[in-house]
Order: sequence, then structure tokens, then C-alpha cells
Amino acid sequence: MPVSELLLAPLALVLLAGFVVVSFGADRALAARAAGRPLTAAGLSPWPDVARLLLQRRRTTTAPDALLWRVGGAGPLVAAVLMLAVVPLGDAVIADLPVGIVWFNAMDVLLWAFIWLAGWGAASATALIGGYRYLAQALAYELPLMFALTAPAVAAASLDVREVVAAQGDRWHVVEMPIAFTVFLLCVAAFSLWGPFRAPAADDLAGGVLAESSGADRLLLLAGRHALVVAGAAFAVPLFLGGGDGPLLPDWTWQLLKTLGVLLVLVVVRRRLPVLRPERFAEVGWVLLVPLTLLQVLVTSLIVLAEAP
Amino acid sequence: MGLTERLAHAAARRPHVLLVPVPGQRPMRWAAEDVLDAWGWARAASPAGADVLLCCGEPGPELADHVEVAWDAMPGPRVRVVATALAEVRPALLTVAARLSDLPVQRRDARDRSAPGLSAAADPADEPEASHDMDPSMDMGMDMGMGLPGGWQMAGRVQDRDGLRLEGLNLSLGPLLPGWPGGLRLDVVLSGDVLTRADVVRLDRQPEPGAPPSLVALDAIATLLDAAGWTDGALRARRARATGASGPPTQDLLRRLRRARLLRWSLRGLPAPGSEDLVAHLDRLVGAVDGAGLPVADDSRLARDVVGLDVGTASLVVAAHGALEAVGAGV
Amino acid sequence: MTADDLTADVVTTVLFVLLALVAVGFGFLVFRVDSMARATFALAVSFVAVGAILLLLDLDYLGVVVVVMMVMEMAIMAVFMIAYMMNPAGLMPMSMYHDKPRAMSVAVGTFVVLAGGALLVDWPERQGAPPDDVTEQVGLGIMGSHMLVMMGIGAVILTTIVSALVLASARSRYDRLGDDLKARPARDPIRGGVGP
Repeated sequence: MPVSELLLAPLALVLLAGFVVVSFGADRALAARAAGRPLTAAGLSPWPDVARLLLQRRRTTTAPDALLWRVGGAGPLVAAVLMLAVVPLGDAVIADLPVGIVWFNAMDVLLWAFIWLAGWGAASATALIGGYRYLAQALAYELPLMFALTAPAVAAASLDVREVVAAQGDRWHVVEMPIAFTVFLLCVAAFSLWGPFRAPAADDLAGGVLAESSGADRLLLLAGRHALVVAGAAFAVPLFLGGGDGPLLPDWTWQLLKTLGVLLVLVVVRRRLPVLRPERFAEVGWVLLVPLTLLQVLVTSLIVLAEAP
Repeated sequence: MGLTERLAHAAARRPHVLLVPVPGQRPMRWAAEDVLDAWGWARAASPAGADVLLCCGEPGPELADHVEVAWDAMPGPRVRVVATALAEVRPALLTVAARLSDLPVQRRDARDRSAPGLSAAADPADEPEASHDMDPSMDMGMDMGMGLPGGWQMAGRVQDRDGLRLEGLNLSLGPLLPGWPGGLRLDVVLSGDVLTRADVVRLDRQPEPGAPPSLVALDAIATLLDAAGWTDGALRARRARATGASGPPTQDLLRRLRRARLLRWSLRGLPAPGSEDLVAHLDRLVGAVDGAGLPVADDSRLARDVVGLDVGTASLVVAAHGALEAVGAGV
Repeated sequence: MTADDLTADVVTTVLFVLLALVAVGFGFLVFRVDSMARATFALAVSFVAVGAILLLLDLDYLGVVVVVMMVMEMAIMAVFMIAYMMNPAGLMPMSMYHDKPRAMSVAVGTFVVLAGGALLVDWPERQGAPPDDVTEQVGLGIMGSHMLVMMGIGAVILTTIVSALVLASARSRYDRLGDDLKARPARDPIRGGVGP
């Protein structure tokens, strides 16, 4: 899609907002089906929730660390937008970094800081526990995520996202590295506090890191959460699903359709699975996922060696 | 319409409701939950995220204190609904939209609120009071003084589950946490997020009116699934409760529960009332839907079971206790 | 040098100066703030600025990896700072200086010597253009033929860490699984997700 460089950033934001709306609507649709409610267009729209948060007054607690709290609240949305900077749409990309994959990893590591700060800054026992839960969960998923990101880089012999897309010419990476793809999707859910990994923001902690925020701060944090899922889904497409590869339709259309598909899978996962408590997940992450992803990298390396000219 | 009015009308279409279950008013809680599910209104996890405070029944004196703190902690615009009779629940909720979008009233409410002090800003779901003793060995040449902002003091140290000496935070995991049974408060000493001591306090204890055991079992399943984080499952369980124990939603729910492997994995090994662990408890509840007997919850056993668990797991155990008839210690 | 090169140089210099000020300033702030959380994250900002400076040097991979590692480390360090230090929330005024005159003179003196050296040393003129993959060339230059040894050392370090943790742990396999290692499930304070 021929698009000038100047338009790319606003377009990315518009697409981000659009996908957030779609994921919210899909989530509401599944909830309505479970509750036996009829589906209506008004029931799927995020506008009532956004409006109420815009109208709601902000609140504070006794002796919060206001600077760190606000940084933590706004951080996830910023991280999501920065993640999108290295996702190519068709041929165009906002930031043509030769180390796009590591950049994505760096942005999701920034979340370690942001979400802990959101929990710490609120000066509330439940919020702080939420922040610490996030670190416990992050320790468990970060290594599998790094290895899952390494596999496509090894297969393409490059850290540049566009070269990873180009290296998938005839065979998508998801075919030869399904474990890396699954682990990547799990880790996208994990760093966005989504679905089974929403323990740091869960109801049993009165909302965890969201316990004390209201109004615009809450909106930023919730929007950041949804935006992170969209950014993760968008990144999975060039990395594992061949980017814009597909018959008939142009590159960018396929890319958007595939992102939509991955996003819907993540929404279904959110509705269907219970919350995984971090102490249960910790052993899974270290004992199961790290060896699996390492094996996956080994298999990928063997395939690369076997196919080397 | 101005922008604010437009926002207010949009916001009033889907308010977030903080549900206050009152002990002895179980039918009203069921009715309120059914209405909320039917209308698609969200349930708030904390007062910060709530627009509507819905009391399912007139709260007793002890519970009313907690309700006041929660009401204070809600930022505006806010609406308080106290339903005193079963037939009043739905009409009262119907007035919420109008009251929420009534901007002059909301503005007046905001103006009349006192400046935030310690009481207003305290989180009612858990009311922290730092322990009052200062460990003298902590005075290491730094000038600390006795008072911290907000009137707090340094926490003392307690032995925790893993043999460490961590701070002991006196906290009340309050009656208004989502999914907790009406009027149940857990006064705990937390070190980190592990409970080192717990006392079960039942506020305004009242016997619940009788209900068919299969419906009580479905309610218990819904509470457990909500606490375990499977919101769709909880929605289906409440729908099954609303349509009766022999309807198709119930069969659908039981089928899904039999196949829910991840849920069972997540519940394994946790203490449960009257069963070996929460998985067995879930199976027993499923059996109770079909007519077998319901387990009975024991408050003193609950206080013993949650010591050594972390807050999230303790919430699960409390939720399992929650919807059942309780006997045993507790005020 | 063309006009484009000149503009690029000016932009680079300005960015470098800004990032350097951020790095040094936030590093100094670590000792000025009262709250442990703020001190940790002031240090994190300082490290991120250093990573950004590496990006200016065309060392893309190294710059981004510095950010990844440092932010993760600061998040974990925050947990420990708050666990072990007094006054973690900065609710009481506190002074983190010890032996101020001597420490200050050593610190400032070292900075002046290093920075002055960097500015005043007679650096050689660059002949030709930088290589294509700067990171790879830097790696080869530093480690050269010892690359395989370095990778092996990495694996050895990881093994050492794991072994040290196992040795230091208060509870061994026999505590968890009984004397015959046959007890299932394991006797843990909290039940793990997989395994015995």
C-alpha cells in the first residue's frame, strides 16, 4: 500500500484503536453468549466504558508516590505504541530498525517496570501485591518469550522483522516452529495481563494494580492493556504467519486479516480459561516452557543447517 | 447536548456496580445478579472502579460502617441503591441510569463531599492499620521519628511461613471484595502476600432463607468459578441458577465443568470445606446439583485453612466457603 | 563533508549531550531521592540513557540489549531494595551520603579525569567508512577467536548459578519427597504447577 512516511504513525494509531474496539466487542459478544443475553450493537461498543472513565473523577490514596503511579499507569500504552513501531504493514514500517525483534523484547521488558510502578505508586496493599504478582509472573514467562523470539530470528538469520517476513517465502514459520508460536501467544497474553494471566489485576485483589485508579488513569491502564494485546497479535503475524503472504488480496489486507485472526484467538482464550495463579505458573514456565523453547530453537537450527546451500 | 451530557448519557448505559451482599438476603443477591447479567452491566472489583453501590438488602450496623467507607471511596459520579425488598431490586436498578446522568445532582454531591482525609481515602476492601510496635533494633543511627505521613507507623516484624522475618501488616480483607460471602471479614496479618494469621469475623450474622439445594449448589459453583477467574463459567452457572436446575443451561454447564481440565489443575491441592481439596469440592457441588447433599462450611476450619496461603489462594478458599451454610466460630 | 553530514553531526552531538546529561543527572539523583523505589528507577533511567547513547554509536543490538537487561535488573533490584532497606517509600527524610567530602572528591575527580581524557585525547582520524555490521565487527574485535570459549563460559555460568541455588536451598529433595524420594505430591508450602 503506497503510503507516505508521515501518514504511517497516525495510521498505526488509528488501526490500533480499531483493533482495540474489535477485541473489546468480541469479548463482550462472547460474554453475552455465555450469559444468555441477546447481542446488540450497543452492547458490543466500548464507548459507554470509555465515557464513564472520562467522566469519572480521579482519586488518590494517602501518601501515594504520584509520579511513579502516573508513569506506571501511562507506561503500558506507550510501550504498546512503541511495539507497533517495528511492525511492517505491507512494505512500510515506521521505524526500520535492524534489530526489530530485540526492540519488541525491550518494550515488553519495560512493562516489568511500568506495571510494578503502577502497583507500588498506589500505596495500597492490594495494588502492591498485584505489582509483585506481575514480577513473579514475568520471571516465569520472560525467558520462554525470549527463546520463542529467537527461533524465527535463527530461521531468518536476521533480527530485522522485514527480513523475517521475507525468509518465510514459501513456508510460514508457524509450520516449522509451532511451539514458539504458541509460547509467543501465551507470553503476549501474559505481558498484557490478559485472560489466564490477569492475576496481577484480578478480582480477588480488588482489581490488583487497578484497585485504586479511577478516571483518566484507569482508562490509560485499561487501554494500555488492550493495546498490548493488539500489538502482540500484530507482531505475531510478520514473525510467524508470513506477514502479508496470501493469494489475491494485497499484502496489507492479509496482514490485517491475520492480525484479526490472532486477536480473536486471544479473546477466545480469555473467555475460556480460568486465571492461572503466578505460583502455579512459575513452575510451568521454568520447568516446562524453557526446555521446550530451547528444543524448538535447536530444531529450527537443525532445519536451517539442513537447508543451507 | 453538551459534551459532558453526551458522555454522561453514554456512561449511564453501562455502569459498573459494586454489589454488597447482605447476610440473610440471599434471594435479593440472586435477583440483583440476574438483572445485572441480563442487562450486561459490569461488576466492579473495587470502589475505585464503581459507579453504583448496590446493597442487596438493608445492611446491619456493622456492615453499614464498611458500606460507608466504600461509598466514600467511590469517585463521582456515583449512585447508591439500597433495595429493601425482593420486588424492589429491578425497579431500583432501572432508576440508576437517570440518576447517574443527572449532572446537577452529581455536581452537588461532588461539592458536598469533605476534603479527602485518612478515613475517606482508606480502601474499604482492606483497611490497613500498621502495627503499633516499633522494633527497637531498627534504630540504626538514622533519624526516623515516630510519625509518618497519614499517621501511619512502621510495621513490626513477624515470622512468616518460610522461616523469614518479614513485616506484619494488619489488614482486613473486607466484606466487599468481589465474590465474598455477605458479611464475611477476614482479619489477617500479612507478611508479603502470605497470611500468617487469620480471624474470621461474620458481621451481622443472619440465617439465610431456605432455597432448593440444587440452586444453592449452582450459586456455590458460580462463586467458585468467579474466584477462579473463569468469568464465562460463572455467567453460565448463574444463568443455570436462574433457569432452574433441570434446564438446558445446567446440563451445558455440567458438561463444560467435566471437561474443564485447566480449572481442575488450578484448584488442585487447596483446602476445601468437607472435602479433600477444591477439585473434590467442585465435584461434590456438581453432585449436589443433581440432588446429593451439600457440604457445610466451618468458619473455624476456614481460619485455620487460609493460614500459610497467599491472598489470591485464600480468596479462592473463602469463595468456596462462601455460598454454603456456615457453622462454627465467628462473631 | 556535505551539508547533510554536518546536520547529522550536529543532531548526533546534541542528542549525545542531552543523553549524557540525563545519564549523569539521574545517576546523581539516585542518592538525592528519599524513596528506594525512586532511587532504583532513577538508576534505570540512567541506564536507558546509556543504551540510547550506544544506539547513537550505531551499535543497535548492544544498545537495545542494554535497555532490556538493565530494566529487568532494576525491577528485580527494586524488590530487594524495598525488602532490605529502611524507608522504602521515602516517607521519612533520609540522607544516603557517607563520608561526604572524601567520597564526593573521589567521584567528581574520577569523572573529570575520564571525561577530560575522552575529550582531550588526540583521537586518530577515521580512515574510510564504518563497516556494515558494526555490532558483528565489535564482537569479533573483542572476542575474536575466543567466541566459542565465551559461549561455553555462558553455559558454565548458568550451570553454576543453578547449582548454587540448589546447594543454598534450605529444603532439599529429601525434604520435599521423603527419604525414599517417592512421596507424591511433594511436601511444599505451596503446590507447584508441574512435576512432583
